[in-house]
Amino acid sequence: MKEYSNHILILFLLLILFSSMKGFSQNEFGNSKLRVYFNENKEHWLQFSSFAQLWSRVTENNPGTTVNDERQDVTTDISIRRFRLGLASKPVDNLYVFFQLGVNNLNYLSPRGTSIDLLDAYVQYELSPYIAIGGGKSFWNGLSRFTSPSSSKLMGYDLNFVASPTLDSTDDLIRRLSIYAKGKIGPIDYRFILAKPLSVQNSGAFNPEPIEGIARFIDKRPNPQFSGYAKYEFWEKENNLSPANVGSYLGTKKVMNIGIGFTHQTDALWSLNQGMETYHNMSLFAIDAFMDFPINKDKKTALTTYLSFFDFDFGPNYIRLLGANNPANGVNAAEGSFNGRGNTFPISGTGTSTFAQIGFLFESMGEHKNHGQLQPYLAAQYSNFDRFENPMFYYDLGVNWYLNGHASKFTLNAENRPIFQDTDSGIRSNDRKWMFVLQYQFRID
Amino acid sequence: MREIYFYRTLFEKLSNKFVILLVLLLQISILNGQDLEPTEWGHQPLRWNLNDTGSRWLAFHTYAQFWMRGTENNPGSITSEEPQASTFDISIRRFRLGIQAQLSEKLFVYSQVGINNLNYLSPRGTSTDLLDAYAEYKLSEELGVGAGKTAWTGLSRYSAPNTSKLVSHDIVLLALPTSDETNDLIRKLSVYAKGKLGRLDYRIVYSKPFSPRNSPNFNPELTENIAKFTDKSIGNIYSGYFKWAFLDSESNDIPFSDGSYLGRKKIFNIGIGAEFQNKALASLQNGETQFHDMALLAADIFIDLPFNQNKTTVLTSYLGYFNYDFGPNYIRNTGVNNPIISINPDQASFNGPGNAYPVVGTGNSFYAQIGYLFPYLGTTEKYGRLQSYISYQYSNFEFLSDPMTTFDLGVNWYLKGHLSKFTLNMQSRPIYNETSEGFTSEDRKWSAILQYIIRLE
Repeated sequence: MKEYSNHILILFLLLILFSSMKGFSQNEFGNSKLRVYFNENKEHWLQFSSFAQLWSRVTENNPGTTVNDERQDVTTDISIRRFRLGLASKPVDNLYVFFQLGVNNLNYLSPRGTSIDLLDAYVQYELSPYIAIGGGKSFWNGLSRFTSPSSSKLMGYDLNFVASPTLDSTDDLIRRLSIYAKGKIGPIDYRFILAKPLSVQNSGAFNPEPIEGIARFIDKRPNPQFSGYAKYEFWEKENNLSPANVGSYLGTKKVMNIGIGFTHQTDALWSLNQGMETYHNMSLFAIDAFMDFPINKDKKTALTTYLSFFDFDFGPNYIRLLGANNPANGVNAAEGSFNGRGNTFPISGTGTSTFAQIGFLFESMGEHKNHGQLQPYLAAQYSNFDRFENPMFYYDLGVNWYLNGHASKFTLNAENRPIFQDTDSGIRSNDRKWMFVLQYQFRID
Repeated sequence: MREIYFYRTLFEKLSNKFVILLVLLLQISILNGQDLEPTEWGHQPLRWNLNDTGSRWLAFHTYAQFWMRGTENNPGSITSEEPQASTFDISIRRFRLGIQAQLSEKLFVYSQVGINNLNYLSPRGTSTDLLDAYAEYKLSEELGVGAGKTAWTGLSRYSAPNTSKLVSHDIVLLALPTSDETNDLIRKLSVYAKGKLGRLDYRIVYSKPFSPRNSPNFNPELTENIAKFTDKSIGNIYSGYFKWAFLDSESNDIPFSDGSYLGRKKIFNIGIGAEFQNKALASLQNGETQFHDMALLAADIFIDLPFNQNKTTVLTSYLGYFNYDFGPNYIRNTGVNNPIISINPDQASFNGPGNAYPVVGTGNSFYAQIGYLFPYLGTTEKYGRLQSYISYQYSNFEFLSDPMTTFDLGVNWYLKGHLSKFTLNMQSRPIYNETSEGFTSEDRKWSAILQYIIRLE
């Protein structure tokens, strides 16, 4: 018996030895994950992650654009669109914490010493598979699928910004201070969030003066913000440990969801109505459908589509202009358009919007060596904003080159946006401009 | 009989234990990954293997440089309107936290956050900044290409200095001519190519310059016949550096060049480099705006030679020649980690407040440094090693009537090589005043710095 016990001990140690060699879960590079396990059954762990998105870009600037007061029609630049350092952990059963530092839009116009900011810090406790509750600074958001995007696992080169209607108005890089409940009940995946909106006083676009007939964010009545999103999962279930929704599973998962969501904040905006200060609720609704369909599991070819409809009410004639990682810092008022400087255009506002995206993932290239996978995609947004006489329409043509999945990829994107001008017959688009981005992204996890 | 049985069972037990021990040892060695050369701390580097062979890995480093300093301030230096002839202060010259990873056999990524000059004048809550974030793809030993925010730059050896592994107490400011003008702490948004062709080590860099408008030195008002960096430039920066390694070759995995290998390597390099930006500066010429190209050239020699058998005494020397053309009369005053930032204009010299002096400008400069590393103190390695050094800069700047000379006298006390070291440095700098013969130097001031560096890697 004693001899057996020794043999068993040796066998056991050998087993641990082999498991320590092979047992680490692997990331998309085929490397072992940056995960430390606290217990033997690997239920308690600490995971480190980091990613960076490097952009080189050519932008046809909006009319009248200036850089340091000099007229510039086209700007070429290099920038860091995003940099993240994250720490996630499940220290005990049911408890999950996530901390993340990061920077957005470090470009040639950035101040020297661009500080790295605290983006996420939240904890989450799982009461049962049906419900978990959490709180802190997070991007647990309602409304729509890509209101909580996994920005390093998208199909497009960047977010679809219509899904982030309060971006930098009442949130900080899509993060808010909130408490939330989320869970899965059968095929239904839900999240409900109560947020204290960040004061719009500290928003870059804040203007404290109300104007006639055009709503603006105001913080005089700092009411809570409610939001929620529920989706019905027809095929495989998606992970809901973190809020981040993946843009494409690259043929590894068969997913079809239909979702609905909302965001509401009472008296979030104001305007003058015949000279009288009038408050407006922000009431946003969305409905969307996402499908990631592996066509050939072995070749990992896949069709990815997303379709969403947004009905936004911010109050009268509200328009949100957005220039992501703007390469210009001024505009000559006399020559300027409604768009403003650089690459800015009206992405969101009171009215209805439809956003659609479709992409196809081809099989790996190369006969003897894997040269990665290509995924051409097309994205477009069509919006009928109250403020404009004609619709806002923009589109993206792009291709992803996945060298190691989302962990190492290039994206080439051509974006075509409208230029709106204030004319005698209202604000209408009469011109279009391009922006070309070559992005390289690496992700360590 | 009994005894024989006893020995037999003992032997069996021992052999079993031996096997168990062997398996355990094997396990520990695999968990620790491959044995790497230990750092000067005597332990394994902070590096984790990402695959079984160790060809893919992730490594951490962090370091801090603490300064305790006495500065004889420039004339007219004030704090809250009170004249300050000298200032004593304690500061953190640098703090860094970096991650580098070899994600595949060819893909290398480097990220670093950090802070410079956290001193008593700093705002409360000094934020940590993103200094580096770049990715590099190594096609072969001959060619690697990379992009991002990075210190990869051309011009000279110490234009990309390894700030925690220098001989002198601080960087060679002369080798960083665009620091904070079109850089962010010597980093730029760049695309680069680098590699080694036999003994030739090269780097070629294209950069989108940071807008000078965000530089603390920026002044939008142009001056007659004195060039200044302009934010109206749309020129890009091109730079390159080529060095020939006569003896051992240096690593080109990261951009930074070491100040001394402390006997671990035998180095003799000669290098040349250049940096160019079209219409980077502007001045007024008879009231008319005129743009000037920035054209900088450098040539340098670096020697780091151990010369006794145990490689415990090392002679380190560096000689650089810099030919700078920024346009007419360009001059740049720099006060490193300046302990004073205000000045009484009535008593001010040309230098400006605190410890500032004219360190870069249009004209020719020489920089020389020589250091001698002594053997270990005492009979063990416990008490570390001393290294004395002298640095000297001689510049003929177009703007100044007298040549600008500074010298540093210093001594390093290496407790654990560069990873734990003290440096005591005395610097003498000239004070310039405007006189009838132009800007001349009649006075000199001292500063004394005691630095401690700790680096974990």
